[in-house]
Amino acid sequence: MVHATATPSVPATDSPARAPALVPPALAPAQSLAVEARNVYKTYDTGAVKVVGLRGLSLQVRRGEMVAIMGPSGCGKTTLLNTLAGLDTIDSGEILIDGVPLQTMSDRQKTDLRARRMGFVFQFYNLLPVLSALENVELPMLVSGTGAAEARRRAAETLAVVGLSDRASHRPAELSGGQQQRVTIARALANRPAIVWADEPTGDLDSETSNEIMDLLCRLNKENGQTFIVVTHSPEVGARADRIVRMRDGAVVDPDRPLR
Amino acid sequence: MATLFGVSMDIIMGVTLALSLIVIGVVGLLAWRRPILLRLALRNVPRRRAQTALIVLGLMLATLLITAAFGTGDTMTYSMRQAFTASLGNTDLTVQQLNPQIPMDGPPDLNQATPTFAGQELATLQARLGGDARIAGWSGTLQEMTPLIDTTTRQAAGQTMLEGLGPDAQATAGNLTLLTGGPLAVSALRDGEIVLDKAAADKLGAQAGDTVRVVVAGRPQDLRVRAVVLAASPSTQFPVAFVSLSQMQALYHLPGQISTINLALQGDLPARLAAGTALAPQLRRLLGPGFQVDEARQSALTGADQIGNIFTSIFVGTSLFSIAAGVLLIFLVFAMLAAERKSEMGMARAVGTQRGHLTQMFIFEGLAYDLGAAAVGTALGVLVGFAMVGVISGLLGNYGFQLVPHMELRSIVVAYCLGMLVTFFTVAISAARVSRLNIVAAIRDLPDAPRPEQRLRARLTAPFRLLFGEFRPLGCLGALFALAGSLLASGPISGGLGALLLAAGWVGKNGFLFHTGASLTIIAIGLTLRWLLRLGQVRPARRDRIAYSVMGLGLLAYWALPVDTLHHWIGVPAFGAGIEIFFVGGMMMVAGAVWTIIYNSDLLLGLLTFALGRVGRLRPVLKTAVAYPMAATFRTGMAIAMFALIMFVLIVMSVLTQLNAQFDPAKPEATGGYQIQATVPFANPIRDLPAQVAANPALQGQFTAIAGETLLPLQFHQPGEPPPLQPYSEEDLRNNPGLAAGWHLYVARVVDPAFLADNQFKLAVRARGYASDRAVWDAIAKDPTLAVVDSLPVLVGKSTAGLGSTLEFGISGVDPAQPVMDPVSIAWQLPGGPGSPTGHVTVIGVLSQDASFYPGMYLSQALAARIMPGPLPVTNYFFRVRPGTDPAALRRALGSAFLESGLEPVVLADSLRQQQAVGDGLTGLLQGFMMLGLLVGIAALGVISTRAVVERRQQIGVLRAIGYQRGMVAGSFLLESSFVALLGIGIGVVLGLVLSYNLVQFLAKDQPTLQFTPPWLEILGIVVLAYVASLLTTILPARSAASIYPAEALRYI
Repeated sequence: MVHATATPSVPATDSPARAPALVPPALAPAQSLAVEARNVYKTYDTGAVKVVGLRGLSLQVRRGEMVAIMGPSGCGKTTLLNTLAGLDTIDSGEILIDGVPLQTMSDRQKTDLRARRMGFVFQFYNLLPVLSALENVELPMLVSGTGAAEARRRAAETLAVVGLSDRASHRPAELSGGQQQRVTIARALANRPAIVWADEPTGDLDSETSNEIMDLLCRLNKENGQTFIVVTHSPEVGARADRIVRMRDGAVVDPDRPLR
Repeated sequence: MATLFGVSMDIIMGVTLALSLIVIGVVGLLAWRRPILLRLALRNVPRRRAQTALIVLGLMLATLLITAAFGTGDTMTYSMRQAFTASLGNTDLTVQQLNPQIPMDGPPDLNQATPTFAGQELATLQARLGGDARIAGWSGTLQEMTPLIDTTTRQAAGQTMLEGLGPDAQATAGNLTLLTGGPLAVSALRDGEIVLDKAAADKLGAQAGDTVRVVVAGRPQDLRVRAVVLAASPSTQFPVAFVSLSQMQALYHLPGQISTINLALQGDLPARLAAGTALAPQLRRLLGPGFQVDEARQSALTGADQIGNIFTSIFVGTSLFSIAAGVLLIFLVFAMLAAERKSEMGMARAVGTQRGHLTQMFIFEGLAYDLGAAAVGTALGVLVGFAMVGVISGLLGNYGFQLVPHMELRSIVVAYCLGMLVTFFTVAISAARVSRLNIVAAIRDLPDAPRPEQRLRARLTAPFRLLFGEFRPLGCLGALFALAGSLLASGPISGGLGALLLAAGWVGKNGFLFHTGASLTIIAIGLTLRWLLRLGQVRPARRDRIAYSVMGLGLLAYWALPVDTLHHWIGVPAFGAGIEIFFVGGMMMVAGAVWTIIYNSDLLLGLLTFALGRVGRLRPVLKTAVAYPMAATFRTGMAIAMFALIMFVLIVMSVLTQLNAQFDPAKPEATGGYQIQATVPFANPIRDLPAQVAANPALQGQFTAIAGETLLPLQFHQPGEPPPLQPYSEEDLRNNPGLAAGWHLYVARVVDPAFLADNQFKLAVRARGYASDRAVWDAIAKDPTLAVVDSLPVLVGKSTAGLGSTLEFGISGVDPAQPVMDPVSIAWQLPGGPGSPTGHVTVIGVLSQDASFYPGMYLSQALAARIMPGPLPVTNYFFRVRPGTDPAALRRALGSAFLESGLEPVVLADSLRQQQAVGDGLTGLLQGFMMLGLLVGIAALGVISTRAVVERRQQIGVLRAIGYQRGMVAGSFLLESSFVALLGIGIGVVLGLVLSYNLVQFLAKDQPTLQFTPPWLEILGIVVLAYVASLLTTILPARSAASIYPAEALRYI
């Protein structure tokens, strides 16, 4: 097990600087499954109409893998990510995280699992506007019970990893889009999650910043061995993943297309 | 209710109705010109029904409070008018003889003998006025206080107003209304019969057919009860009974004598009042100086109106804080609406909508809410007002007042229009404020960047450019408002205005102007500092922090100064503390505290984060709970201010009410050490009561002291004091010409030697040379030119020092806070002008304020003997009971023993407590009324919380995604509301305690026994009630936030 080390601050820029690796606390054997979905169905009932989100979807993601989920709008990519992460319920089928079925967990257990084992990166950053960058990053750690001093130290380290040490006291409104997305990534990684879910992480960014963000995600994936599941429209982003899962009409049409 | 704060309600109705119609007309015109804007605006109304309901609730509160206050005032006016005029029947004018010893103005002292005159005067008057068409009828009546005893039930009514009515009284008294319904003709009364009003019948337990004994000067006469009629007394303080005039004259051995001539006039009420006003001077000329002509109906109506106005003014005055909080709530509601529609508004602006169009849309929508809210507020206000009337009715029940819920259409119109206008203008200002937005920031829902400040020249010319360049009258009006705002917001100009008010207050000895000016000057200093810092390129956040902290702390320091500090430091006039100063003080202190906290919120946040960093798993919840309100400074500041304002006034009221509770009516300082007091009619004195008590087996040995006194109305004047600033009425001066020269009517308490020898009233101030209170009383017993006075004239003298005399009797040169005084010479005279007996007394002691139930100048009987020849009948007896005996039992025994003398004994402690309870009850009602204002704060938190859930839906999704449990989300919302509510409550409590401490210290200067003892339990109760109520409104939004599924929340845009 390798621990993160203290990081010197880096210049304020959208480009990430080299930084020590962040490693999940307990890395399981590389070949075991981090996420598995079996014949999952999900329907949204809006009252007037029923919209099928997932239609008998099955998927396996190995630990340490970076998987891109792609497909046309409305094909169910975000629904898949939400259900896999336990943010949404399913109608039938089975979802296993580290081999444990999500359906058997209570809301409290699922929330706890997210707090301790998962990190999230959203298209629109979704930072809490009233907290500084540093406070946003340390929040998940505080939620999972890390001590205040330790959370503060690790949040600062993680911000350094994403190259934002000198923006630590800034609120989201005072940061550019790329900087906000880095704070989101730092927030997702600070708690050393085993799985990071990213929903269109570059969807709101220009191409140059998108590349920088993907460089950062890929580096962290390689260095830390964390599992990344990235929902994206972008072929460039998809090309950076280990494998692309293509979806159409709520089902996986090309589940196993390794790129590297 | 005819006036409000001295302004005619007719004028107020005309102005408010005209303004309301203008507002509706202008808005209607704008809507007609751009109906699309009206449609867009009105579509927002049903968009979120729950929110619309909350907005209407928030907007209606001001109207509700105003209406409730008016409803109370109208009911009091109406009921008093009914009560006061009921006894008049058809009588409009009365003529009575002026007795130099019995002035007819001021409160009647019915223990005094009534002056009578020959009934021939009536015939003479009728002959001289001939057949004046305005006069409908005449009658002569004879009234006197009399004891009545029902021989069947053995119950007595010691002091009953017995009125003898002649056959001609039918014209003036009209028919009496039987308790069982139907009329009883006055002319049908025969000798040997008596008619009782309900109060008398209740007291006697009498019914028709009973025998009632009337005792006059010890001689009993039995009469048969012919009927019982509805309550007829003007004040209902005493029961009333009627006999025929001839019977009355026989009872009192006053053949041919009457005490009153009554005149009934023709026409409807306005015609009768006008005729009365015209006839009164004519009658005075005909009658000469010995008689007094009273416009009885006009006086009764004026008195009733005054009582109604007092109640309305008190309730409107005390609701000012709540109305101010309601105005803040309206600002808040519209700020929230604007926040909700920020991106829509940005888009609208982007596609070409003018800023004015946005303002108009908000105004249309606001007026729609406003019209509905004012209607709901008025309707609920009537109900609340009548509920309060019910409480007052219960409190005054023992005094026989019958309150009939009543509300004038005029009051309803004024309340509706006032509420509507207050809300509309607040809405209009909010609309102008919220429609000023940065288009890009609005579309992207980003915080607004600070706007570059417009140059003064551009602001000065804007109204003219708009009016003459583009011809936009409304835009010109808006620019004028903006100009006025910017001029006030610039330090030097508001400082100049503040200095002007300061000077005007100082010179005009007006505390309201002075303190407002001082507050404005402090604000101006902060604004000037801000301006200087801007010139010095200090960044906006820092300069605002410095400037507003200076203003906030400055205001807090100024208003926290003990009352009269500036008087002692720099010789500012001693203004005292009135309700208007209380209002300005409260507003300024709360503004100061809120500014200081909001502009230093980061420090508070840091402090709280540091403190809460040790709470473990609760830490993240607390962090977000505090961070959100501290980031939204405007809405947080508004909500805190609302809570603080209401809590502030409630706490001050609680502390002041507690002062009343500090007074123990049973202590010797309050009762003179006597336990029983008994009154006896002036015309029915008891010969040597102490001897009769000693001879009575049931009473002998039961009392350790029996003292007596007679109340005489005298006029007093402190030599060298200027005549009153405020002129007396013509009527007053005609009856008592001495008033113009500075004479004041005040009660003289002529006390007997026993009273001087053993009363235990405490003196607050003694003249130099008297070692003890006892020495003072003993000195008066020996020297009839010496006297003791109660504390009221001394307080009046002190409060008017340097301001000139007032209508009340005041004694200057005595400081009630100092135990020693120099003897003060006071001139006295019998009312009646030149030629009346006159003389001087030297005041050598001032009673403590504990004796406030016994006001008057305490004189010895030896002095009274010089004023009035012959023995003075004692009308008030005081009994000190033997230790270990039951005062209540002795009271009953005394009443029984002196039944036929009309002696009415009361246990002093019970009687004083009852009076105290009425005061406490009314104060409690006022507190309850003010607590309605809490609804404002609670509604504000409800609005904020509901809005927060909508606004932060995605963030709630994020929180759930990163591991916040449902309970943590709900807890975060509840804690956030708690934080705002507790901050507001805390500020209100602290400021309320600070101000009430100062008030108590100020009052204690005159009444050293007063202590600052906050009713902690009651305060805790208020705090808990306010906090729990605020939590209740946020529970639903918090639960709703917690129940949002994370994926659903994240999808929401």
